[in-house]
Amino acid sequence: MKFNIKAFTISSVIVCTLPAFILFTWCAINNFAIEAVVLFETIHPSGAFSLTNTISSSFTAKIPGIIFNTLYVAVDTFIFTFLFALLYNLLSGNNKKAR
Amino acid sequence: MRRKLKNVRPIRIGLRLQISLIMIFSIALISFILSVAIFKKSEQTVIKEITHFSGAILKGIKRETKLYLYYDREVRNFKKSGESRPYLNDCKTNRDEAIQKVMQFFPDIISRDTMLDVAFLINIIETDNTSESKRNRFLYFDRNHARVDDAKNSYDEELIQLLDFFLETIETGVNFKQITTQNKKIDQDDSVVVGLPVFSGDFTEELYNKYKDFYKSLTRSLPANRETSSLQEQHSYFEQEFIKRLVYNYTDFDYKINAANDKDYNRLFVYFSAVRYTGRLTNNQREIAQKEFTEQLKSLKSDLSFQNYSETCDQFRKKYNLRLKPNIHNWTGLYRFLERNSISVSSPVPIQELALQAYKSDLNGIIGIRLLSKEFFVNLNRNRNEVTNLALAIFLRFIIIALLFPGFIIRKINKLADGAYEIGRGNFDYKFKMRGSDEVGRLSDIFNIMGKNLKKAREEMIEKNRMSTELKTAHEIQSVLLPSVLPDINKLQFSSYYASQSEAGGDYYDVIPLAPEKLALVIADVSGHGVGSGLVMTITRTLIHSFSSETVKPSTLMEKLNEHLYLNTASNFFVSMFYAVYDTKSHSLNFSSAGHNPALIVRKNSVKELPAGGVALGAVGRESFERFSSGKNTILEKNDLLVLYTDGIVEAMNNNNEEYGEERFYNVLKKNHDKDAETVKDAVIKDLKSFTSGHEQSDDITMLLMRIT
Repeated sequence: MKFNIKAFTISSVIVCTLPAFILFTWCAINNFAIEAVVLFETIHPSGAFSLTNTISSSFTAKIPGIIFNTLYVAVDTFIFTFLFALLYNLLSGNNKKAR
Repeated sequence: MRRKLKNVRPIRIGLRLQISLIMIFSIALISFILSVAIFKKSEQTVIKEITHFSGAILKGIKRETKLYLYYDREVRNFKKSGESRPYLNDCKTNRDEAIQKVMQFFPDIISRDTMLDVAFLINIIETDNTSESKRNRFLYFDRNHARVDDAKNSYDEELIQLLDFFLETIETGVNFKQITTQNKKIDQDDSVVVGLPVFSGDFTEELYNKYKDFYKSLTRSLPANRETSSLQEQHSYFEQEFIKRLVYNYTDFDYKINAANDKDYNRLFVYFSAVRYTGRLTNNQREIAQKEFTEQLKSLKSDLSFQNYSETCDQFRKKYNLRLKPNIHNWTGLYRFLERNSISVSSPVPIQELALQAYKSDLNGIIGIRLLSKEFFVNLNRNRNEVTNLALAIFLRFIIIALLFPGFIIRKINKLADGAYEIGRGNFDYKFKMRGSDEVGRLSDIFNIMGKNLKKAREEMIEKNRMSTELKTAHEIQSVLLPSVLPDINKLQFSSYYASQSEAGGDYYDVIPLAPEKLALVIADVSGHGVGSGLVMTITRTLIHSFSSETVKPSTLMEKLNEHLYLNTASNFFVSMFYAVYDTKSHSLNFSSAGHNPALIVRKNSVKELPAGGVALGAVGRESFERFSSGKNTILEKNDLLVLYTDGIVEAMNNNNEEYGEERFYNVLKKNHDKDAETVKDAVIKDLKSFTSGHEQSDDITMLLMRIT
């Protein structure tokens, strides 16, 4: 089986980013799964845009954090799934048709 | 890996690598610049915080310090001042109270904020107005023993040196210096030192604070249109104030006198003659002295300074034997006089230098505070780490994206290259199937159109080549049908010219021997030109050769030809023809014309047209043709030149759309009436080509000449 790299990457980005966005938004509203978000932010430095380190507790103040963290998820998913599909096709033989 | 193509260079540093490198370098540069900017901004924030914090403390201490310094000086100068002993005791009490307040102030600060580690030092430059002398005295506040001590007892030599340095730069406001301890054996933490100048007069302090704001405006490069005039006014104000302070503090400096007109120079003479010096001058002497004095000052122009003015005064004093008035200080008096008379004074020295000198003259000292930098910079370090991590996290992701991203573009370009190579190999049916409305999609459409057009062009080229080959063959066949060599008959000269407009022409000429003393001369022009006309010409030629004989009259031949051509050729083809039978013995010429140009006889500088007329062959049926057809006869003379031609000669056009015409043609014939046939032909063709001058030939050109010698 060969991967269609573009389709695989886009679908993976959608599948991962959407739940992450919901999770970050939920966390911003009522600190749901705050430990998971803290863990996420320890390896994804966001500086002043930190979702868990925001001084103000208002939701509006946390919107940049939600966007920043969601962008992290989108970019990372894109990179990893693209590389994965590329490597998989490369190792499994001719990848011209799959593209 | 791209496959290798013949005669196509291999890719070494491809677009993918170039774009990736550009993206990586760009993001690295942006990350670096942003990080440095954020670091610097954080540093500035911390420095501002420290300065603000220290400034607040120092200002609190300053009032008591000034009191302490004042009473301490009074105590030390007690013997000189001659004041009473109770006053001395009061001074001592006040001094001790001031130091007690300072002592109380420090524990308050330390207890209020435990992170503060304070050392306090005062650097006093004592000014004695009477003796105009200055001396430096360093005092150190020993907070452990709650007393002010001489700085030589201080353990902090570095602090004293720094405060000394601050004295040189007081014009920039509160000073800040970060110190990294070099001697690690002492195990001393890094620290920062903040210094604040202390002035003896309130006015100087106010001026100093104003000047600080002005200095910030200068260095902040504010928009010119809004602030420039204001800044210039402020600059002028501060310059005047600083000069005033320097003059009244008896500081010798480079002061310029800006005398604007004769009135100002006269006033300067008044100061010399009436205010500064005493002595009697007669009216006459005074008049002469005033003239000389002002002229000498004027000659100095912009170099007129306090120094020059004093030298001039001294020179004139000696000359006129005047005496200096007592109790008038040299430059202070002059400045007062100039101020009263609204003559401005300036200085070429930069405003910063003026400010420094002005402040120093009124400066009591510098209060310095040394703080542990660790507490202030711990947040800064934390911020630095966060910024570094953030920049690295973004930068690493960008590197990967920069490496992957160009692949999307390059793949499309490679597809285009492959397709273009296929088309180049001749596969014009290759179709580019690029999607999207970007530049590559547009380029693929253009390639598709190009392939389609190339295919069409190739097909047209093949067809054209085929036609060309066929026409060439027709031309070769036709050229055989025309006489390659004209007959060599005694006392007759022949010459001919034939130039078809295309490969296959419609003109025809021939000289056919019929009997030993008779020969037929024929010239014909088939309507139109090209392959069709060439074929009709071939038929006509065959028929002429079949029917012509010494017994057949030209008119009869014409009728026969007409009948055959009328029946056997298409209705749009017809042939104009002149046919003649010449008897070489009797010189008689029997001829008939079928709608052709009249034959010409050139005789002794005149051109005679033979009767023409008739209807073109193949145009009408027998009965109609016979009505117009007729045979005619004429006798040629010796040296006559018979000229047969087609309309291609007289209807030849030049670039101005003018026809060559019969007149020009006849003139050339007349001009060459005595020449041989070949020469006449050459003359006509030369004149014709000269007339058309390269204009495209529009019809076949044929000419047959016969001269009787």
